[in-house]
Amino acid sequence: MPATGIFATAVSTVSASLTALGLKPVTDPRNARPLTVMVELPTFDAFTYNVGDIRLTCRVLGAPSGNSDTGNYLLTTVDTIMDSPIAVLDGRPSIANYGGQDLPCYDLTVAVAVRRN
Amino acid sequence: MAYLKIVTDAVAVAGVCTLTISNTDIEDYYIGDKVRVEGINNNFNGTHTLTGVDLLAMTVTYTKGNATQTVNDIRGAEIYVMPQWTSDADVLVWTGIDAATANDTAFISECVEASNQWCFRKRQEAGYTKDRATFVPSGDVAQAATLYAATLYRERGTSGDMYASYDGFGSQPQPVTLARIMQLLGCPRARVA
Repeated sequence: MPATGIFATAVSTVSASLTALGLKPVTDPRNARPLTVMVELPTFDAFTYNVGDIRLTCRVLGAPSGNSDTGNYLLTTVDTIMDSPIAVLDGRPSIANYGGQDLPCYDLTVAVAVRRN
Repeated sequence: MAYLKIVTDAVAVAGVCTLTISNTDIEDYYIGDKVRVEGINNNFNGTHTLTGVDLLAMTVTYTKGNATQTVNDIRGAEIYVMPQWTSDADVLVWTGIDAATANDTAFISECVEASNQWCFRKRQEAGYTKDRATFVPSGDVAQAATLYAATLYRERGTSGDMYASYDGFGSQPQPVTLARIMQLLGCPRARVA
């Protein structure tokens, strides 16, 4: 069942922006793998019923084992995202676990303002 | 692959295809069985439902398209039965939720086929040699086939220990065990000499 509503719109908007940068966004943890960007579920502060300040965590996933090969890829990819219209608020190196697989990553917090029409 | 056989000759007359099976009996094949044919050509290959089985002539018949062609002395062509013990609909009922995307829906079909083949093979190995591929032997076997297909579907993107889930949902262990599936299939534990 495809998701609908302002939260789904926020996720698809960020995904489209990442695709435009030549990256491979994934929105399903089953598809998370190295060299993709996993767009996590949004958190939000609601102003009214139709206006929200939505934030998404985008996890830039690198390949194990987390040495400078991975670090160089992650830094370059994060810089590509920073140098784009995507509103990155902060970022930090981390480790992502999807389905028992630990992947070195960079967690980016992205802000999206969405209003219900 | 269930009841895998070698095909030596193939004849199509206005889309009615007749395959000759070599060096083995075909008593395990029945009218109505879903079979997959590979290695001949596009006039014969694909997934079909048998409309005829001739035990004396060692031939099976099905329909495909409208071609007329004869191919003799074929090398490398095969036919096998596709068990139908569980279905996409059964798995969707079991999971209780729609698949997220069209790709996931397609993957359910792959898991269903894998489960049907695996469960059929395990039953054969355990000595249930009279199982029919088209009809599920009993309710527990049907449950096992559905359970295994659903497990394969849910396991995608994992190492096999826990489900792939969003970061905020934590790591969720996989509760279904192979022992439960084997129990439902009626297969005994492996023996150690």
